[in-house]
Amino acid sequence: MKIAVCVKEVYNLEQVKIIKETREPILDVPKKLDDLSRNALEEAIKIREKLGGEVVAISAGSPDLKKTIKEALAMGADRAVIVTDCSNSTPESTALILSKILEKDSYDLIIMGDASSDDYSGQMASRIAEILGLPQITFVSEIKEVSEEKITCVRDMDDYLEVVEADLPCVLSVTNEINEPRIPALKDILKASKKPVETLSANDLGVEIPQPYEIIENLAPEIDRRQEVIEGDAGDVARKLAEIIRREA
Amino acid sequence: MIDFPKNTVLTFSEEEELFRESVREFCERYIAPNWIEVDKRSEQNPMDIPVDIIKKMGEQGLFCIPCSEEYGGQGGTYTMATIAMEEIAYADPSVALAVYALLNTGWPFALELFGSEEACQEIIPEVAKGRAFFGIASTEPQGGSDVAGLKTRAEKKDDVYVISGEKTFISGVGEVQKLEWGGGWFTLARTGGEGHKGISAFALLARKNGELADGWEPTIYEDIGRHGLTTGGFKLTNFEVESKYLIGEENRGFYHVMEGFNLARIVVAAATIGASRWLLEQAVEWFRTRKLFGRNISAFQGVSFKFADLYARWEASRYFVYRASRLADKIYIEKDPSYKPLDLNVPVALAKNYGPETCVDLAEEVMKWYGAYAYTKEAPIFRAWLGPFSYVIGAEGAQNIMRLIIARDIIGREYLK
Amino acid sequence: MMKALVFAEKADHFNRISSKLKEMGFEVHGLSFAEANADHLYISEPNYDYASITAAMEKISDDVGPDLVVFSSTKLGKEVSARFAQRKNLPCITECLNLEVEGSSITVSRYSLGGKTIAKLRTSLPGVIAVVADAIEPSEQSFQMNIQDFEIPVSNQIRTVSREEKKREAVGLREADVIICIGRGLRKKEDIELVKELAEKLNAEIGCTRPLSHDYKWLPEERMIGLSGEKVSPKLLISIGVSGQIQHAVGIMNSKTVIAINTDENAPMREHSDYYVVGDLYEIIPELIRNL
Repeated sequence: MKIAVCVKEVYNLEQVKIIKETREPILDVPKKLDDLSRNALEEAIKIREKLGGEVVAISAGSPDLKKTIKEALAMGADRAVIVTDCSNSTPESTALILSKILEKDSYDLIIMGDASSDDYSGQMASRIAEILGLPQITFVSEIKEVSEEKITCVRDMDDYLEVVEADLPCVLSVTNEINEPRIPALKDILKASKKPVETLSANDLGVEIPQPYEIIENLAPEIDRRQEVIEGDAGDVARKLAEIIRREA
Repeated sequence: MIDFPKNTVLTFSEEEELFRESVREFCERYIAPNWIEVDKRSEQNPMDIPVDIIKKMGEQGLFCIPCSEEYGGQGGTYTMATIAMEEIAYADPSVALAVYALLNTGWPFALELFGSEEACQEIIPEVAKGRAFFGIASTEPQGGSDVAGLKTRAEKKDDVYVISGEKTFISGVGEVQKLEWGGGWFTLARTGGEGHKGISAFALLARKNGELADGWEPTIYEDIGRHGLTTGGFKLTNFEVESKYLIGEENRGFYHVMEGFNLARIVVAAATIGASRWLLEQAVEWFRTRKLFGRNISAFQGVSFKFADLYARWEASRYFVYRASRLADKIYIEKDPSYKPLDLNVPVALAKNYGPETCVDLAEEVMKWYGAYAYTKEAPIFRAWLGPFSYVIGAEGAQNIMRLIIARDIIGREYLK
Repeated sequence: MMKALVFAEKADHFNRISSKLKEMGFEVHGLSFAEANADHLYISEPNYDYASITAAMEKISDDVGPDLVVFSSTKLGKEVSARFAQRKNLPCITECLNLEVEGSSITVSRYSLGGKTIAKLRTSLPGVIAVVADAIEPSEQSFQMNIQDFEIPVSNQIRTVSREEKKREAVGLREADVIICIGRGLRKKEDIELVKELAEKLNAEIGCTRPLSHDYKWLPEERMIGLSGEKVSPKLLISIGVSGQIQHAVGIMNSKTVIAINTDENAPMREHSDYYVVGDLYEIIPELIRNL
């Protein structure tokens, strides 16, 4: 089985701070492999453990990817293909870039997270599947069966759970609950540095990055809470709270 | 909260940073939520050993870090081991699990350096998997620091050494009995005349493949801290050890164990710097929340200045520890001929002296800042005081012996007589 | 007049979206599974297959020539909106919290950086968006209501083997006046009983942060409040043992008054609170129950 996993580098969101006066985010924080990308990798590696084959990690982003992609290799991807000159790209352009890479090889499965934890846009699987003319199974919370010919999955939708099957090749997007991504051991980390990483540029791929929309602003919402601290022992506090509750409820 | 500031001197490679992240994640998931429970349970019953956590750590590859992959080891460096112990102790500041891990990295590695092929093939893979314990058995009832004065005797009879004597204050006496395979220790016994030139080292397995050996009689002690790892003693009565378990050359054991101690002490110090970091964070959290006389407790310079001093000692101990680990890598991993095993003596003594003392001093101060609450068992801080205290009391090398090593080396042995 | 084409599998979502579009001056066309408010509506048998719906929307869109295509930002809506947009080579913005028209462009807002910021984006039409329908207040509008039956072309790209409705507890978080939200400050599942006692006194609904519903499974998923869960707007929200990570905080932002109880003076939750108590919930809740 040849499995491609589309992964994304994201800012370490917990470390992103907001400037109080301007409400701008400070993005001088390290990047890491998105959690959902790890779920996707874990699932791909489990399939490879069962059916044999190759897992290729593919990503488009900034030069920081050279470091971040090692996390994917340490988790068990056999090799990686990265594009390092498209920071701040949109789902539209990322889908084009990744598809150009994906069409060079014939993958049986293309797996990714159902969204990324920074933008939560959730468009990649649909766009890539459409460009490559493949079926898509999104929001996969469990893979029930997989063979060289077809795959059966459980989809976790808003109001229902669905069991679907599709012939391979197809595109999958997985939920955060599908598995617990492995934590790379030292041996895997040491091996990761020796795995091949192909680095491309968006130019090489002949992709022009469209700018479909304009970002007018990206600010933290105004915080207009009173932030009044209530002090005292449990009894005092309880009395004060009871008063507030009677007033506001 | 307390993390490692930008540093151009104490730097780590991308792989080392990835490894640190992975150990940190493992510890956040499996060790940090459980360490207090482990300490409490083992305090009630020392033989209640966290076997499942040990197994998980084995599966994650946290034992036998510098040992060769040929023997089931991780094929890493001593610095990688140091990073791992620092992170494990940060998650478990009672240091029980960190010490389990460091003993089962340091002493299997010493076995690999000096032991026979068969012993390595048999023992190291089981230790790596978390199914066997392999530590150090040197201390005896009459003394620990005076290694050369030990009395346990080993007589050679055909192809077997018959060993009789007694060992005390040995870590792992319970683990060897409870883990799936068993295990034992890098054990010292006298095969020749008096003094350090008559001592040999053996891989003494009290239990292998689940079966207890004859002539081994254990007792378990009730420690005041570091409960998750047992301490005990054992009597050896005509205990038979096949010659394949002789470590290195006969009567050269003293020299082998001294190299082993150097290596083990680095990771001991590594554990204490991890626990120190946890303690520093407890202090900072307290400073930010606790008020008295209308101000944060850290508004009082008596408190904040003391904190700054202890913080400085923590940072300093990190430099000592990683300086020693990088040197150990040069000698034992890279096998760079311009560095010799004896070069480690002072760097290791500095690390082993500074790390544990800083940790214990810090723990004491943190408890004083917390006040009465820290005196109750509900506050976990005392566990991070008593655990590392074992290493100030003298485990793995008495503090004053460390001072002796430094003084001898710098001033000159003849001037200390 | 500009034309909008809407798809939403739920009539309520459809109506919220169509009323907003009408308010903005669009002629509203739509595809739905039940009667809904539109100028020109195509009704079909329910079909939850992305390929079928994409094909249907493609056909209708080719006929109508809309300036703006709007989906509801449900899981189904998102996956179809992106596939449709890619087919038509159009940009698509999902998880939109609101929309405004400016000439031949629209401006939308959506969460970014995991919820820490709100991004305002402008895109020129024609375009595709997926809107968080619950964030849209419906308004009274009048529509032409030309209704036609429509047959969605069947697709076999993927085959549905079975479908099971999720048993959803009827949870009144959206309608509740008072909500108590619990987080990881609670040490064990049994402690929820203590919170229930308080909830009964206040006639409050209980919600929680994601770890409690999805990881520990102490409460059903429907009770999760956050970016990927419920977004609530009670008169009073009492937050107990919640650190206040942004993915949760976005769910409570529309609460009128927020009270929080936490042992950490500097938890992120403080910024999202009107009244912040630094204390032990295990001491305070019993006292509070006594005082009410």
